[in-house]
Amino acid sequence: MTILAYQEKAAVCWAGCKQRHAELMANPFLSGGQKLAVHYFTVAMVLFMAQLLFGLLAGLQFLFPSFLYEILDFNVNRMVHINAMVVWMLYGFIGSVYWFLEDESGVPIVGLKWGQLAFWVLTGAVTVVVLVYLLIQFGAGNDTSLWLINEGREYIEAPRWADIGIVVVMLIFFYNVAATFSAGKWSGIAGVLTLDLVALAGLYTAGMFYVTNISVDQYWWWWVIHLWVEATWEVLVGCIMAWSLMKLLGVRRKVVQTWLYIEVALMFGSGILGLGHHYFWIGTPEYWFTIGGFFSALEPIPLVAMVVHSIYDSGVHRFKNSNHPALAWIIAHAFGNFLGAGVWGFMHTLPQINLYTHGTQWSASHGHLAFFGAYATINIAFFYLAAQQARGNVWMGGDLANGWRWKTACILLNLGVLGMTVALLIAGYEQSFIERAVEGSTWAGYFAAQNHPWFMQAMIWRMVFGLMTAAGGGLLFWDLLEIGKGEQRHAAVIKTEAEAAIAS
Amino acid sequence: MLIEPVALADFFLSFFSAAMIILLGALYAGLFAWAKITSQYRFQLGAGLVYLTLLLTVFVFSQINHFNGYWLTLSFLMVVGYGCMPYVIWRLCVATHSDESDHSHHPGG
Repeated sequence: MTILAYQEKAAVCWAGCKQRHAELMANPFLSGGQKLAVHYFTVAMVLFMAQLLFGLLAGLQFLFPSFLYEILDFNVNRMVHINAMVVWMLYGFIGSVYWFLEDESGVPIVGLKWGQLAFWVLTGAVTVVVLVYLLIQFGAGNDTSLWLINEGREYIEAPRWADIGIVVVMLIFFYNVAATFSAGKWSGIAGVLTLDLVALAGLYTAGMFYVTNISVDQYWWWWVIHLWVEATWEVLVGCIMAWSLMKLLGVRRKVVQTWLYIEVALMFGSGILGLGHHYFWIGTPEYWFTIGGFFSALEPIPLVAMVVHSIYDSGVHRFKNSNHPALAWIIAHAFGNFLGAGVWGFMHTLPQINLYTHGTQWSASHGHLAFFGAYATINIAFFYLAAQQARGNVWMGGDLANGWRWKTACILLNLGVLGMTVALLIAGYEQSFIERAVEGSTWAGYFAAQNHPWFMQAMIWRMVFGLMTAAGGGLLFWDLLEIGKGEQRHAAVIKTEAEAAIAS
Repeated sequence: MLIEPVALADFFLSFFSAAMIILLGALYAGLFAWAKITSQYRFQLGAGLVYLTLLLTVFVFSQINHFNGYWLTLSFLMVVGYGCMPYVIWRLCVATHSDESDHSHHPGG
């Protein structure tokens, strides 16, 4: 194909995007905040696809180490894979909050224009950062590269200018949320959410300064990685889930808010000092063994305890719901979070065993299922809630036209991620055993473990399930673009708990 | 060093017992709640048996991970935490739904 043909294809694609955007802005079913939310959801889905693509490329490089060597190196693919995940989840969370902000506060968003500006600035910055990652893949690190190319910190490699931009965007987001609730009405969800956003913006600055002592540097770096994920994100998801459950199942506000407070208390009680499990081997004092070990071991207890509440609700309140795909993803969230964060986390969290497992594929195994279960699933559930409203609050219960698509996507994604998790678990077990325990973390041990048949076979299976996940992701993307189109039936009306009780 | 790492021969048992603690904790909580809802003795019995298995698993886990001194407090906290939390959460469930209409049904308690 000639360059001209590519240009024509790009022009058609661009015209299609512009038309879809015009249709979105004219959508009569959405408020201003919800239109902004759809912008965030769209980019989130694009980044999710990028995460899957670069994950597949990195996975292939385990099997064929010379694949794309010095064209698109493993370190770049891995970096984009993980960064895309972090950013698409953030986009999903921000979009979800913008989605329900007006409904929850009772007034239009105060700084909607600022929110729109922040969206385009953030999206432009993400695009530039990724392009720089891809175009400048190696070279010496210095002050210039730190500011313009790559900060060099694992998982948050974005250059310093982009870091500052992220904090500014978070502060605009915080302003919009706080000012809108102040102009309208406050609620329990509003209070928890607003305070959490202060921490969300503030904690990110812990990863923005550089010290020459690597232990001190890592100490602060983990504040971003762990406390964002196991403190601020958890609370954010709690708020999103609380609002979703009211809309999806008709749960009373008092109940969801009470449980939100309980969740925050339980999570802060164990999650914050659970940070210690990252401090075992970075040169911090030995008391972190005890703090990290104790609080990490207690982290799963709230997850287990919540089993009681889910059984209580399923046994006592036989809720109807108005959106089957969203509910299916919320159920996937409950199981994924329990298995990925709870079971997979506790298996290797104590220092007595973490000595061998830290940084092996075991960590990757835990990371894949925990992030998917705890965060990806809840974002996808919210995307379906948004799709339902955007198509005119249409029927999304049983007998949905082309319902096979969301069901197949859900099955493929969940089985794919679970399969990758088990494959990585086998690889991690083998690495822990041979590289760490038997060979004592030597170079020879590293290569012995990497070339062991168990490791290689596990990587093949990881690839197989990775392809399954990618197929599910593609199907999900397609389904979100099409679901509910042409549906004439109105969404099922969900009675609140109190109404249902009176009716019975 | 304050810790004694898991022995090579105990690798699998360490991972397995850790996973079993969480899974048994969840199963115990599930059976406990279901016994409250259905008021059936066999589920109560099942919950009790699962909890006994959980105690045994915590013991094995503690042995393999060479818990001694204050590390044994962690074993105690796990036993108490997994044992008591279902009671606490059940009471919270009942309390948070307490002001519902008289038409609604409140089992157990």
